[in-house]
Amino acid sequence: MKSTMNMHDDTPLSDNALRSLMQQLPEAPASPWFTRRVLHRLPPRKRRIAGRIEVAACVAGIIAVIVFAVIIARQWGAGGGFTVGDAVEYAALLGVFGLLTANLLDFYNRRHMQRISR
Amino acid sequence: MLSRIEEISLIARCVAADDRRAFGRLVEEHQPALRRFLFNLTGGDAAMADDLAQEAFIKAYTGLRQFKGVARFRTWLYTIAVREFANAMRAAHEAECGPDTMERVADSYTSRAAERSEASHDVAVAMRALNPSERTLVMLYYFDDRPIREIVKMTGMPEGTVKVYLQRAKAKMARVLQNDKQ
Repeated sequence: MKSTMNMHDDTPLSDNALRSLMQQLPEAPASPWFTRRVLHRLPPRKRRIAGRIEVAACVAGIIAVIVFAVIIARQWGAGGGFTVGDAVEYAALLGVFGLLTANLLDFYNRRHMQRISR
Repeated sequence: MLSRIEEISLIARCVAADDRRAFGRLVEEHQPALRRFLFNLTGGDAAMADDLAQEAFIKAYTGLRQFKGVARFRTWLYTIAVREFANAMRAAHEAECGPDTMERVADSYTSRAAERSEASHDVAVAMRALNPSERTLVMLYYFDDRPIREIVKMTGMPEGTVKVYLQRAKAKMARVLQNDKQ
């Protein structure tokens, strides 16, 4: 609750009158680049360990998927014939590959946007 | 206007992930009011008001981990801004800012206020009659509509001093406004 002040002085100006008068005070001149300037002046970002781990995990996952794909391709070359099981394994690997790549791209996209906003 | 939940979520993103876009959103939200507040507090010195506002936002960002979330972010930001203004006034007093500069700023302030309305001009002239401490209290109490208890916390002044300064400031403003009418 707003505390009230007892103005027991003889000024003809009431608190409410002064309050409404104060609302007439001018606006500051427009400064369209103000936010950008503030963001630009912020201290440099600390390199985030979490970010590095995220990138490393994605890269390791992508490499693992490629290695698996090569192994399956070799087995399939040696054993002869492309089975339904191979197709399912390839589809699963392709899905995982897509997810990891999307995550990696999203990470770099976020970083790029943060650089621009600074 | 940001809701309390949105504000807390943005602050959490700044603290946890050093998210500059989230902080940019907070700046966008609060900068018009804070710049207007400082513009009038500095007696129309737009450059100084912008510098103080920038400094307040930067200090708010670097000290965001200390923000407990009991008060609104706005109150905390204004506390920083008011202290920055007091420091700037002390520095200007020590450097003895030239009367020409002050006069030029004051003229541009009143003419800017006159562009808005006659009442705006009158109150801008009355504001010029106040010293920096009185102006700070008047801005917080009458312009920003803050309770005395909060002003005491923000400025670090004793409650009695705040009330006396406000009373004195109001009397000065009433005198100027009355003279202006005559």
